Amino acid sequence: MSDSKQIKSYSDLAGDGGSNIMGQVVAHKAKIEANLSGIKYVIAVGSGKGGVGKSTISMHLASAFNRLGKRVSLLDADVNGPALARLAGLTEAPLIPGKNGLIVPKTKSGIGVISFGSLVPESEAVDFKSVASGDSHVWRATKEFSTLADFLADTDWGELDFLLIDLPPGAERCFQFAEFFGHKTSFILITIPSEVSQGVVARSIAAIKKTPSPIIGYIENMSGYYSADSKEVKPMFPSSNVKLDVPLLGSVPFDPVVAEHCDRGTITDSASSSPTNISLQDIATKIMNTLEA
Amino acid sequence: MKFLCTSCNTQMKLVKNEAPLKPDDHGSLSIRYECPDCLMEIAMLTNAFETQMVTSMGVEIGGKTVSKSQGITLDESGNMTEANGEPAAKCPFSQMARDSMMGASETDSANTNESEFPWTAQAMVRLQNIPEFARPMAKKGIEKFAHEKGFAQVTEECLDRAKEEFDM
Repeated sequence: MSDSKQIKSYSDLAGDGGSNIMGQVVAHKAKIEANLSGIKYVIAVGSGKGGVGKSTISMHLASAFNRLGKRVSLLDADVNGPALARLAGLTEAPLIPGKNGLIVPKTKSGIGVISFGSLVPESEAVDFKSVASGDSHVWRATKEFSTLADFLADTDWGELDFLLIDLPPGAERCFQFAEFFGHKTSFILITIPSEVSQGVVARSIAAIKKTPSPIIGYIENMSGYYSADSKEVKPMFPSSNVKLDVPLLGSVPFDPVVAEHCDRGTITDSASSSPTNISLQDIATKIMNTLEA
Repeated sequence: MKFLCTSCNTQMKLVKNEAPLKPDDHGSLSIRYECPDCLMEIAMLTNAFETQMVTSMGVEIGGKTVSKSQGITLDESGNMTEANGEPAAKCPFSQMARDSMMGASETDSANTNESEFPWTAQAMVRLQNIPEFARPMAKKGIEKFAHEKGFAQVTEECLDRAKEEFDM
């Protein structure tokens, strides 16, 4: 070939010579979309800040939707710190291959839960063996997303009113998941009243707003401490001066009795008269009304 | 990634052969491409990061292997026969590539048809169609269930029975 001959560019060549990598990616995305087509609302529960109760609130909201007669499942997207299996009492859930993919393990009340906590014992780290061991920072996040994509594509989610996705911490993670799930997924953010937490959540809101994904609002968890003896809710944190630019869906007080149910995996059995549960039931109704408006 | 034969200005094609595609001790893969016009061959040599990145994306060099979306068919005795015209049980190139690139936790026998406890082809298809990460544990659990319930092999009936017994 002479130097003056113009060689073809990437876009001039159809396909990639045999592997069809782009075709595989597109086909997998289409498969996920088809597999989630029976779900009315997909809601990602995030924060940016760790330890504010994303998983607990996710499980409570699922229970609240369930009490409203809605069909609901949860996907624990926190691969490294999965908590939903324990919260749902499904750490030893059976994994059964069904006709249309993995059958979703369910709680006694019928809430479906897919969590890495059902796949890997709590005493073990979630591990992906690799030919590039020692350099997991290079590929680990990609592997986690593709594994989650597998669970979206190859699980028999069936017909649902709500699929709640419990996100890992990290403001940039909110952005990544907003891109990953696409604009049909709405976001709810969890914070506690502290300025430290609300500052991080403000950053997460800014990150999600760079994407087309809607934010339904935020929930203020641990808004106070409920004492069953005095029947009073006392403040746990000084009030914050950070303003969050999305609707407040409600405030949830901390009730140690409900917290005990969380550890035991019996959230759905916790007393509906607790101010924690009353508040979450109100929030679930508000979310439902917002989405259906 | 695409490869162009600059002599012919023609796209080079992946060479599929019977030899297993395996990373070497350093995690490097050697993947052959050929110019369909002048038949010149080159090899793409990946480093461990590149090998792992491709694997992490969940895609397969050499093309996707069998899945329900590819229309697995079974013969009268329940054996897998064809998927888009290729032998369904194992595409000799891509399945080997996938297996060889996956980590130890994922190269469990759940990813092949090999098992100490026998599975019918139909039951194995179901196993292959659940998320890869869940397969080893699902396989172990189902085999334990099958053994306890006196099944001689894991069948679709056995899977359906497990579904019923666990009230799922």
